[in-house]
Amino acid sequence: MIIEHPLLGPRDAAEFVYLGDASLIHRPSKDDTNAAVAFLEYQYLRDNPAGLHRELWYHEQGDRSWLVVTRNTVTHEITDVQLAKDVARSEGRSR
Amino acid sequence: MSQERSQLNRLDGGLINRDEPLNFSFNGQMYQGYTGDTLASALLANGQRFIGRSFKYHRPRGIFSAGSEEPNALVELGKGAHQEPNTRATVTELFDGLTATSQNHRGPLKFDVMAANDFLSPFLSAGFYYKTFMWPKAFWEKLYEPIIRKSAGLGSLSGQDDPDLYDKGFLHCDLLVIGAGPAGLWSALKAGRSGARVVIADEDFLPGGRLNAESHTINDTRGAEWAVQIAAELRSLPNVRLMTRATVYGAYDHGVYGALERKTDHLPSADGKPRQVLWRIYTKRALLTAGSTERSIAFGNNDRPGVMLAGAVRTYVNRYAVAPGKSVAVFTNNHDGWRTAHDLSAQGVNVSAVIDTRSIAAPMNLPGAAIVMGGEVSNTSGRSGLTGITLSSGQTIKADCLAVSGGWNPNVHLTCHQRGRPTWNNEISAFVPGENLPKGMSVAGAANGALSLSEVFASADTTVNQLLNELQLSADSAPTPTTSDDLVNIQPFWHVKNTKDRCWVDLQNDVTTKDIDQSRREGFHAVEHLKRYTTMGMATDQGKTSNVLGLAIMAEFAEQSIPQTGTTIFRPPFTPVAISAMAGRSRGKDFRPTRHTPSHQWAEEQGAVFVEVGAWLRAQWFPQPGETHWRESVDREVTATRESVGVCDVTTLGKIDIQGADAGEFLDRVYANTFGTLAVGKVRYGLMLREDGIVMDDGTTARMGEHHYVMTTTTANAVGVFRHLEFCRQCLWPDLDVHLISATEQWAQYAVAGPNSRKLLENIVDPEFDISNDAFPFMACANITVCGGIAARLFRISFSGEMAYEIAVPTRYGDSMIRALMQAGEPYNVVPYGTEALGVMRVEKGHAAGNELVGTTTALNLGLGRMVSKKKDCIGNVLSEREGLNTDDAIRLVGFKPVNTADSLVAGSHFVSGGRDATTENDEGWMSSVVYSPSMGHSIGIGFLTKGHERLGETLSAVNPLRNERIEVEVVSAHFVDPDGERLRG
Amino acid sequence: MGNISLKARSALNGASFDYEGFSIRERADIKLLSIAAASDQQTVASGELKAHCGLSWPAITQSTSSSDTHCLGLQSEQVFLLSLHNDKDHATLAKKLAEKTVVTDQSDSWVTLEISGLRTLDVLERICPIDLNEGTFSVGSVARTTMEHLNVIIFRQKQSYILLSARSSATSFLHSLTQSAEFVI
Repeated sequence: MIIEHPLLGPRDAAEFVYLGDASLIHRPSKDDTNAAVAFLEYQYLRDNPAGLHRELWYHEQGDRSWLVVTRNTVTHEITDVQLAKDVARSEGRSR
Repeated sequence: MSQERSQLNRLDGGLINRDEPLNFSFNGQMYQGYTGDTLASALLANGQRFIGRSFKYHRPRGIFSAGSEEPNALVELGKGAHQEPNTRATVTELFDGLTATSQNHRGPLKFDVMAANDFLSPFLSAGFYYKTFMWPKAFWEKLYEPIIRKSAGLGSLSGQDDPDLYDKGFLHCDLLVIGAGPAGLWSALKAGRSGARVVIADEDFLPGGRLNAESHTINDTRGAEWAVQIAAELRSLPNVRLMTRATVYGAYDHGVYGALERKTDHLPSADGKPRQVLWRIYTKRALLTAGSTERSIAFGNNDRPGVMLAGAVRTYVNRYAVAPGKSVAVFTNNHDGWRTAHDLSAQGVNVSAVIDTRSIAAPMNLPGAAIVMGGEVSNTSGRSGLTGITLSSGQTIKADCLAVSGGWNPNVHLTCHQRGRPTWNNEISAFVPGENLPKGMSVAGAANGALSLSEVFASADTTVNQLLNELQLSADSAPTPTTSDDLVNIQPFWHVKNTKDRCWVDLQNDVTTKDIDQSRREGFHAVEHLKRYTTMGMATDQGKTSNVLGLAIMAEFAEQSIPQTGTTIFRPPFTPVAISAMAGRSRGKDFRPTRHTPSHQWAEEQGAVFVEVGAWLRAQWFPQPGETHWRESVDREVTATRESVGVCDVTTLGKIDIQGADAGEFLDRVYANTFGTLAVGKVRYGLMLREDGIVMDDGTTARMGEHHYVMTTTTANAVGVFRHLEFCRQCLWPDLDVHLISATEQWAQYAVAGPNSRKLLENIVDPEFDISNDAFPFMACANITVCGGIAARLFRISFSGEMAYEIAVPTRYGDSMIRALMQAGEPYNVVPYGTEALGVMRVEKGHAAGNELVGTTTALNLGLGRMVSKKKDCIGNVLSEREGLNTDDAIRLVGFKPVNTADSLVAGSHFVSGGRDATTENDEGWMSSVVYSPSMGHSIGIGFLTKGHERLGETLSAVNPLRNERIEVEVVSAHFVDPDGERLRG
Repeated sequence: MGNISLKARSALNGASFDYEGFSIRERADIKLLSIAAASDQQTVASGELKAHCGLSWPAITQSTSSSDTHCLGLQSEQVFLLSLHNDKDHATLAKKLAEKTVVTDQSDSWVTLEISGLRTLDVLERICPIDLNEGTFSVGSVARTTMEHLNVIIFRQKQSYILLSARSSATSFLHSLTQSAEFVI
C-alpha cells in the first residue's frame, strides 16, 4: 500500500501505523450533557462501511504526523489524504 | 567426442554454447549438457524421459513443458541442508556440478513401491480423503493423519535450517514491464528511448520469450537474434533496468509489485552472496507482457513420459537443439501444432503423424508423415515412456514423443491479483484480461490475447504509446517491427469422450476427466468447489496447464458454456516463492535491531547476564566470582543497595521532552492527575489512562522549566505513549502550544539508590549544586553539571524505596559515567544491579509494573482511584467512572506472604478462600508478581484480590492448578519494605 | 576522592568501512539541534534561524546550508540543525535559539554515518524503501523513513549521504549497511 502524504509524497504503508475511524478526532467533553453516553459512543461505536472510510494513520517512521486517509475498504483505493491537524481544525477543534 | 556422443538427442544450432560443457548428475548418474541448457533440456538431450513419479498414483512422468508451468518434472535439487524440493527442471538453469534427484517414490524411480496406488485408483478418486477418514474419530490422530502425512506432499525437506542467504530490496520506476518477450522488449525499448525509468523483468535467464523458442523472423532477422539486439540496447540505457531470472510474482495495492530475482541459483557457488532477492517494485504504470501458456487435450493415458506440449517441443528443438523424440507425432486442434511439425522437419527430426481434430484441409504438406484430419488420439502405450498412440479409429502409430496442442491461454494471472476477472474470448477459445485490472496496469501481446507475432507488436506499440502519453513522455517514432503472420485458427477440442482409459487433466494433482465428472455429479459444479474437491489447480504449478482445460470439461459435462460455468482467477504468487525469500535477511539476530544501553560495554566487562526487554538488552544481574545461582547475585545486589548504595542503568525508560506555553495544560489532559500546578524543579508520579478508563502507562514527569517538562514512560510503552501523545496533540487539541520530542536516546540515565546514594553523588555532582536533603528533597529535579561542567539532569525519585536519585548525562558520556559512579561509590562498596534486583525491590515496595498493568487494570484496582481527577477533563476519566469498573467487589492490589515462610509463591496463582475448590466460580483474584525478598527472608508476592484492601490479615489459598499446588498465604500490605516511606525521604 | 572526569564516546567509536566503490564513516563531530516553531510563531522562528545561523527555514523534504551548518526540513514546523560547532558554540547557539523557539539538543540521540561512493545507491536499494533517484531526491533533499525496522533520516549532499539513526541501535544500523555492501559488492 502507498499513502500519498500531503507534504512528503508517496510513502509505503510500512512507515505508518493504523489507528481507526477518523471520528476519533471528535472527542466529547466531560462537560457535555450526558457525557457518559457521549464517551461510550465515541469509544466503542464505529461504522463499518463497505466503501469510503475516513481513517487515522500515523507516520511513525516519518514525520510523526497523523493523517486522515480516505480509503475505499472494498478496493483499497485511497482517494484523499490530509493532515489530521488541518482536518481537526477545519472540523472545529482547537484547544 | 565421447561426451558429444552421450547427448544422443542433440541437434544442430540452438541457443546453447557448445564450448562450455557442464557436468551434472541425476539420480546419481553423471551426464553432460551445455551452458544455455536447462536441466530438462539436458536430460532430454541425454535421452532421459522418465523424470519422476506423480503425486497421488505414483505414475511415471516426464517433461511436459519448457517453462514455469511445468506440472511433472519436479526434482530435488542440491544436497544436505541445501536440498530444495519441487524444483522445476524446465526452468532450472544448468551449471557445472548440479545435483538433482527425482521425487515422489520409495525405492528406485523405476520400481516405486507406492506405484501400487495406481491400481487402487478406483478407490482413490476425488473426495476419497474427505469420505474415508471420517470415522472412527479416534483413528484420525493416531492412524490416518500420520499415514497421510507420510504419503502426501511433493518432494521432501532436508529438515535442516536453510543455509543460503536471501535479501530484499526496493525499486522505483515509471514503467514496469513484466515479461521480456517480443511485446515486453519492444515496449521497454520505446519507453526507455523516451526517457522513462523502466524496469523490465523476465523469469527466464535469456530475454526473448517465445522468440527464443520459435523460428520467426523479425525485420528479416531471426527472432532470437532480434531479442539479443534489443536486450543489448536496453542494457545500454541508464534509465532501464533489464532483470533476467526475475519473476514478477504479484500485483499489490497502489502499483506495488513483488518480484523474485534468482541471483546465484544458476552458479555452482553463491560466494557469500544472497541466493535470491525479493524486490518490492513501486511503479507508476505496469505493462503485463507475460505471454501465453499452452494447454493440453485430455485423452487416454495422456500422461506418459513423452507426451508433451507442442510449443515445448518447438522450444527444445529450436532453443536447446534437442530432439524430444526420434519419431514425433503431433495432436492438435489449431494451426499452431503444425508449426511444431514444421520445425521438427526443418531440423531433420522424423514426424510420424499429425492428428488434427479439425475437419479442414491440412494446412501444410509433410512428406512421410501420416496426416489425419478430423481425428482423435484416444490412447497411448509404453510402460515408462511413450512407444505409440492409438486413434479413435483404432489406427495405431509408433511415436516416442507426442506433441499436443490444445490452444494457448493468455497469462492473465497478474490481472487477477486485485480481484480482476478474465473474460472468455471465443475467437481464441481462451480467457483474456477483463476490464477490472489492477490500477495502473495495462496488458499487451499474447497476454492480452494477441496470439500472432504481428498482432503482438501492434498491441505492444499501441499500448506503450498510450502509457508514455499518460506519463507525459513522447514516444520514440521507430516503426513497428515487421514479421510474419501466424494464424492460430483454433476449433476448441477439450477431451476424448467414450474412453475407458483415464484422461488426465491436472498432471500435478492426478486429476482426471472422471474426477471432474464425479465432482459435478456430487454437486460441486462451481469452479471454486471443483478445485477444492478434486485438488485441480493446486500445488506448485497452480493449474497453469490444467485450469482452463478442467473448466471447459466441466462446462461440457454440465452442458453449459464456459462463461456460464465460471472463471479461473489467480492469487499471488505467480510461481512459488520460498518462505526464506520472504524473510530475506531478517533471520536469527537480524530478525530485528538490538538496542544497547550506554553502559552495555561496561556491563559486558563485568560479566553481566543480559535479558531482552523489547529490543533492548539490559543487564539482568552481575554475577560475582563464587556465585553459582542467579538468586545469590540478585539477593546480594538487593541487600547491598538497601544497606549502602547500588547503581542501575535505567536509560531504557522512555523520555519525552514536552515544551511549549501549554505544556502543563496538555499534561493535565493526558494524565489522570494534575501537573499544571507542579512547581518548577519538582517531579510527580503520573498515571496515564486510556480513553476507556484503563491504565495505559505510568511514570514520573519532571518540570524542568516554566514551559518544559520531561516525561518518563515504561520501557515497553515508550513508543506507544509517544504515538498517543501525538494523537492528542494533533487530532484532539491542534491549537495547544506544545511540542514533543523523544529524548530517550539523548540521555544516559542511572538510578543511584541506597542510604549512601547522596554521598556517592557528592563526588560526581559539581560542588556549586547543593544536593542536601533540604536543598534537594524527595521529588526534586534540576539541571546541573557533573564532573567539571558536563550538563546533566538530576531527579530525586525512587523505584526501589530507598533514598535514590536518577542522574542523566548526554549519552556520549554514558560509558564514562557508569565507570565514574563505580569509582565514586568505591568507599561505599557500591554495586551495580540489574533488572532482577530492580524487580525485587519494586515488589518489596509494592510498585505496579508490567505484570500489573495488563490492559484491564483500573486506577481503582491499583488503589490509586483517588489520583483520577474528578474535576478536570482528561483522557479516560469519564469512562473510568463506569459502574462496571467501580463495583464494591472490585479487585485491589495487595501483598501476600506465605503462612509457611519456607513456601515459594508462584506468579499466576489464583486465590480462593475458605478452603474452597479451585474453580472459576470461587476465583477471587490472582498473584501478579512474585519474588524472593532478601529483605524479608522469604518469598513475597503482590496481586489482585477482590476487596483486597479490606482483607489485610486474612488467610487464603494461592492455587496453581498446573502443578496441583495450594499454598496458604496471608493478605498483607503491598508495601513490604519501609511502608511509611521514611527511607526515600531521608 | 580525586576529580572524576568524563570522557565522551561516539556510538560506534569512529567506525569506518571501505568497499570497492562504497565507504561508511561515522561522523562523531556533527552536533544536532531540533528547532520547532512555537504555535503561530513560524515567522519568528524563521527570523531566529536567519539571525543566529544565517540560514533560511527549509521547506519540508529540503535543506538550507552554510559552510558549517545544514538545516534539514523534517516536519512542517520542525527542523534539524546539523553543525560542526564545538561544544561551547553549540550550547551557546542552543541557548540563543531557545529564547524564541523550542529547542532540543539531539546530538546524543543519533548515530551519524556518512556514506559515499559510486555504489552507494546499489547498497541502499536493499534497505531503503524511498526513491533516491536524482530526479526525485536531488542534492539537498531530506527524508525520514525506515530501513531494516529502524527509523532513519537521510540527507543527500553533493558527494555523499548523511544517515542518522537512533544511537542505541547504532550497531544494528551499521550492520544493515555493511551487510548490504557485502551482499552487493
